[in-house]
Amino acid sequence: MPLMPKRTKFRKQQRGNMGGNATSCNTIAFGEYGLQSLGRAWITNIQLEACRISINRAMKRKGKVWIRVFPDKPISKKPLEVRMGKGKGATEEWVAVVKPGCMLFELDGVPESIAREALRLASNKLPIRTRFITRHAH
Amino acid sequence: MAGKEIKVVAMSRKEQGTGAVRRMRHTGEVPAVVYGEEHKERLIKLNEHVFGQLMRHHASEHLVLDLEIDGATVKALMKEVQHHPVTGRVLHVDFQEISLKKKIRVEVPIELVGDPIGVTQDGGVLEHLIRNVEVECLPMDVMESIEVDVSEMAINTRMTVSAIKLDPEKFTILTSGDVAFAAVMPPRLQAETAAEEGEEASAEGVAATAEKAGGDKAAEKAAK
Repeated sequence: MPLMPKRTKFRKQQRGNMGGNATSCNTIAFGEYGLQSLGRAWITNIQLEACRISINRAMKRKGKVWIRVFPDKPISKKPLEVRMGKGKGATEEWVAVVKPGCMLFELDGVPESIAREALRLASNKLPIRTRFITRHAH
Repeated sequence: MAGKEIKVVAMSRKEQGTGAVRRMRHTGEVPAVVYGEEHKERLIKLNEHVFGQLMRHHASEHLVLDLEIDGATVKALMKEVQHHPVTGRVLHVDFQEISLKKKIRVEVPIELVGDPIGVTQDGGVLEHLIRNVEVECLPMDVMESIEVDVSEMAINTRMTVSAIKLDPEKFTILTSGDVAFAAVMPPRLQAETAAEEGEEASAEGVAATAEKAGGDKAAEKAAK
């Protein structure tokens, strides 16, 4: 089941903006290796799920994974061939707002070569450029 | 770090504020500040290249060093180093002026040494729960890291701060002794992994049927 909030105060949100760099969640906090974003984007819960699955497969269910972002922003869309007006569309997907510097995933308990490969596979499923970092280099 | 003397050359500065400090960074200098109990805070600047080299050669960001400001030397503790979130460049440094006779509190990183038995034999996962402990000691005794041997740890065991052995005359560990800093957890349960696999398989199945349905519709359209 892709990530999404269990309960929200409001059903729909405005788009907002993605200016600046990540001011928090921009360092390795839990694991030994991390995947840091270098671009800005809305990352959907389906993309995050695809990353999680590819990381778990690459790590052969060893080690530990932390997903540092949560898709808590609802994105609404109008159905196809519907005239404008008549209110805002229904919620179609959930996204996480990601800015440059944001730590997306962290891994621990596996050798660096496996962590690097797992995060490379995850990175291929994301719409932004990313960077592999280790705690010591950080 | 005890015994090693690290020297950093700094110059006092008058520029302050976002714009002035930004211009300073463009010229290869890092703004910094020194504060202490005896003196009022002083604004200083460091050479970015020299400071970067210093940081690369030390694991800890809480070093005790000799800070030379306009010719006069003071002992200082590096309290905080601010980095740019994307480029990693040093943006600002805080130094605290210290007395060599007065004990100070510093965060010292814990380094786990060795492969635990629980990991090598039973396939567990070594978790590093906390990575720093707060230690009180004299400035000249500050360590860069504390090495702890975890090779004897079996599966489902944890190591607490009370297991760290330091010279009690020199060091006082302020972090509570009950706090665990390393644990060897069992590998993920088979049932859990099977459920996960099932979930992945069902997701793939849904995708395959959706593709198939799409293909059928396309075929129908072509027939029409």
